[in-house]
Amino acid sequence: MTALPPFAARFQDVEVTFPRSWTAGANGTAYRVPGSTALDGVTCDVPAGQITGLLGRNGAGKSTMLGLLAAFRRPTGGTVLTGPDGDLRDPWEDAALTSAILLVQESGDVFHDQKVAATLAYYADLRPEWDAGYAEELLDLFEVPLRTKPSALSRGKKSALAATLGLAARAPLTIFDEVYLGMDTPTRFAFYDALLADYAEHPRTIVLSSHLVEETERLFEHVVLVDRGRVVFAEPAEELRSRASSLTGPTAVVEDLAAGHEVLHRQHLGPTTRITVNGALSDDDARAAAAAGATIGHEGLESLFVHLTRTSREAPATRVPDTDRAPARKEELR
Amino acid sequence: MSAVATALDERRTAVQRRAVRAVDGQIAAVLRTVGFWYWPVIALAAVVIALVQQRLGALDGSTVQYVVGSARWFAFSLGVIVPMAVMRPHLAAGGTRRALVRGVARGAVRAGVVFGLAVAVLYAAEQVAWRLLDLDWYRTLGPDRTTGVGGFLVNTVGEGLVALTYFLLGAAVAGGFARFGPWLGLVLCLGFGFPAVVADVALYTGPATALAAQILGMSGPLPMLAGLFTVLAAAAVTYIALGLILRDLPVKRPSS
Repeated sequence: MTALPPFAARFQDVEVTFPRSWTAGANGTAYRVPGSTALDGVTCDVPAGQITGLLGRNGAGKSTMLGLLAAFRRPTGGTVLTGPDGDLRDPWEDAALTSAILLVQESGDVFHDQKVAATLAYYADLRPEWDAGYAEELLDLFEVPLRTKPSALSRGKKSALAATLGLAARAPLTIFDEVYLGMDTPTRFAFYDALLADYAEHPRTIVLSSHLVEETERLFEHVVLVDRGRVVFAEPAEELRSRASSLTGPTAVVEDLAAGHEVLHRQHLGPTTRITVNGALSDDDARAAAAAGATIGHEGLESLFVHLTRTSREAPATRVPDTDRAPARKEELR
Repeated sequence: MSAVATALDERRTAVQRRAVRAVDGQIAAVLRTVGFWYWPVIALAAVVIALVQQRLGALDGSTVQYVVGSARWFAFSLGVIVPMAVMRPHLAAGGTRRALVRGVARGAVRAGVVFGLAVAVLYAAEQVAWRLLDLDWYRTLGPDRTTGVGGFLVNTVGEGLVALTYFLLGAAVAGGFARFGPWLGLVLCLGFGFPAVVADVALYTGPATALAAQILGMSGPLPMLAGLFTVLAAAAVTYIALGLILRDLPVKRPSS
């Protein structure tokens, strides 16, 4: 079968609303879940052949976006397209695309009561790019026994199994939705290393949804930040890494220097103040800061993520005009 | 057509075919596993009932007829459990809902063949045992009294079609609850049950057969064929309902 190039994806004004529904509680009783909006006018691109980080707070709509890409659900409005660059199509019920897109969620989508080998065989059957040898190598690396049932594995081992499925499938669009949950630190780093090594050897498009921004940001080439069902930004990671700056020094000085900039965060410690501003500071600003005894620093992606999502919640009227809409709910409640 | 478009077309056909086969394979694996203990237990139950009736002096024809009725509910339970359990891994592995429905239909046919043959073999074995014990074999349930090869065929096809219908019914009910919630799901469940009841009644009390014989004036094997055709129609209706329910069923995020 002819190999497919890495996939790109596009969200065009995508809306997902969940109707009022019933769900089962922990004690087995059914209760009513009110309707809500998970995605509201999402428009962004996922570039082909890059690692895209999808960031957002709990309930921001990340999993819903990823579910749309994998054709797990349909949008209420708008269009989701994916496929080889220049030939984007609706993935819904298109076996050519669904077999080239893999969404890996925590604990994986596996046959819990059959041996791990049964799940691997099923994936191998439906995934033309599946590499069985590599899958066994990864299971060895993560110490997941082939002859055990997933239901008998610990949470961390289940996540490792999910990561194995994602890597060994070598899908042109591979999506990891918080797959690291439950993994211990050495396993997480082993996963990141394996991901980078295999990505270099077999280029494809990877989307990584994560809360551990500091730990994963080195992997990202492109970043999409969503908050309350809307895209805050979708930009190359390199630009974002230098986007937020901090000014630290005497309060009056840094307040003066920060004037005219969008302030993301303000922190006071006695007479000293640290202000985080959106955007790089100019050479003139740097000279003025140095002369006034203030220091300028670059904020990382994590800081930008924290401040931008906090700002959007503290001042919803400026960033999210539609304040009346119901807060997005985790899809697992549907 | 570009090379990529050609590659996508090739891939679509190949993956769809493999996905249908994979779902069918999962159902076959479950049938093997549970059938390994279910059918021996059913056979044992028939023997125990016969022994008890014999001891009480109440042995009255076939005892297999009392226990094989559970097979349809067993098929229904498998229909409820297996397709919905397969759905998430199937879609994540790259299959489509259409392939799932076709795979479930193939699996249901497989279940029908296995169940039909198993029931026919049990009846045949019972007839042989009765003959060896110099007893008269007859059934008190159902219109069909045929034995020998004819009886074997009628049992296989009839029971097989009913098991197939119940398997599909189970899958449709599970899908209905998953898609529409408890209340509408319950209403649909009752609606979906109608074709299965028709299938059951057509086979056992034989209104379709009677209708064909008495009102339409059919004779020979035609009334029985009319009954079997009714069961087949019921299976087809249930299959269509299953396809309509599953064709856009969203997949929920697994709870961690």
